[in-house]
Amino acid sequence: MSADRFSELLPWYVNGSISDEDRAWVDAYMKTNPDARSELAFYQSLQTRMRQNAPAVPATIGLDKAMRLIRGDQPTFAEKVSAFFGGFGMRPAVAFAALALFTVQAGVIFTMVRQSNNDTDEIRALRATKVTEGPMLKLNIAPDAKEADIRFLLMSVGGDLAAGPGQLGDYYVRVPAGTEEAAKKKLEGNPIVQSVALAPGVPPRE
Amino acid sequence: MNNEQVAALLTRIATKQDQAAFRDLYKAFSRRVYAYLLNMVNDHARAEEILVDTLHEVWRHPTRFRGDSQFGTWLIGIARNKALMVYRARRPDEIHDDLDDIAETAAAETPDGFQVLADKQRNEGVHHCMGKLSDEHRECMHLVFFDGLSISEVAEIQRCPEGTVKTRLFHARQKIKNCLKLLLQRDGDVVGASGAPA
Repeated sequence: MSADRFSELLPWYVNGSISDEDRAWVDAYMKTNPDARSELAFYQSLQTRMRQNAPAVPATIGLDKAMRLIRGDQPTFAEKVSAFFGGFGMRPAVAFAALALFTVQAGVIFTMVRQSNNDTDEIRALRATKVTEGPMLKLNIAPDAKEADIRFLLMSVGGDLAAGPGQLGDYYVRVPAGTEEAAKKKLEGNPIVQSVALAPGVPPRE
Repeated sequence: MNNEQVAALLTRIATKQDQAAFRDLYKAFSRRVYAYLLNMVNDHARAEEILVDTLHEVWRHPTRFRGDSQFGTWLIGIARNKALMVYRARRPDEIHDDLDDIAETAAAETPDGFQVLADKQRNEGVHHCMGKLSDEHRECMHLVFFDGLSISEVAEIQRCPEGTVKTRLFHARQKIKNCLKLLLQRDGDVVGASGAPA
């Protein structure tokens, strides 16, 4: 019974939180039970080892982060990236490697897109290469008209495409000065032209 | 730093948003809370993260500390809650291996066995054996032997009756003791009936 009580009190005796009364009891017990001293020595040694195993960190560990938090500062870019990838369970080094890979891939894709845009230059040549002012013709062309037919149509009246097609399918065509009426009549007879009219110029945002 | 000094700093934080007071408070308790957290989560970065979060909580709500307990004990209670939220989702509650399985069944004690263990145990051995304990047992051992808390303070932090603390401590001590014995035996230092190293 006494041994059980001694064993129960021992941790609190070792860490110093025991009451004076219990401390006196433990001291008295150890005087009559010399073996108990070795148990005490074991737990004192254990306590010493545990405290020696404590990480040797400065009292300022994490203090900078805490101060930034209380000042309401924004986290640094590196912290944002780390936090973002940390959410996926990735370590910072892996996160930065992933970021680098992403950057390279983005560069490759951008280059490919640019090359792709160059390939469509011919098609886009149908669009106006220069915006002109002054009287021009406003055409509405059949939706099923082919690009080649439209090109041929413009060539037939010596016209340049100034703008279009707009949201309503209108094209604005500049023809040589003084030939507007003649060109209008010629275009009216073409089957792919649904309507044609004289216009004072290209309206805004066309 | 005693509770009166802490209360003075907390008042400065509450009334003036005093960053210098916060800094003093932080430096006074950071190492202790960090050691507790590292023992809980076994991850330096995560321990630091939870430490910052814990002290930030104090900055945001300085008046929540009523002085009913030691400030350090109260702070560890906050850190514990935050650690459990992070930790329980990521790691099983207990780690078992051969040392755990035999830990309590090999409890046959010899008269001089404690003395041999006291003489021979190494820091690494203690660290290793602590790592073999369940979370609750390891926490209990840390709070008692590292932090030097009383049984009522441990019960407050672990949110359990004092009797439960005694039980946890009993089993944890048995496991630690027998784990250390086993390590010594593996290293060739036999803790036998004679109690003398081989």
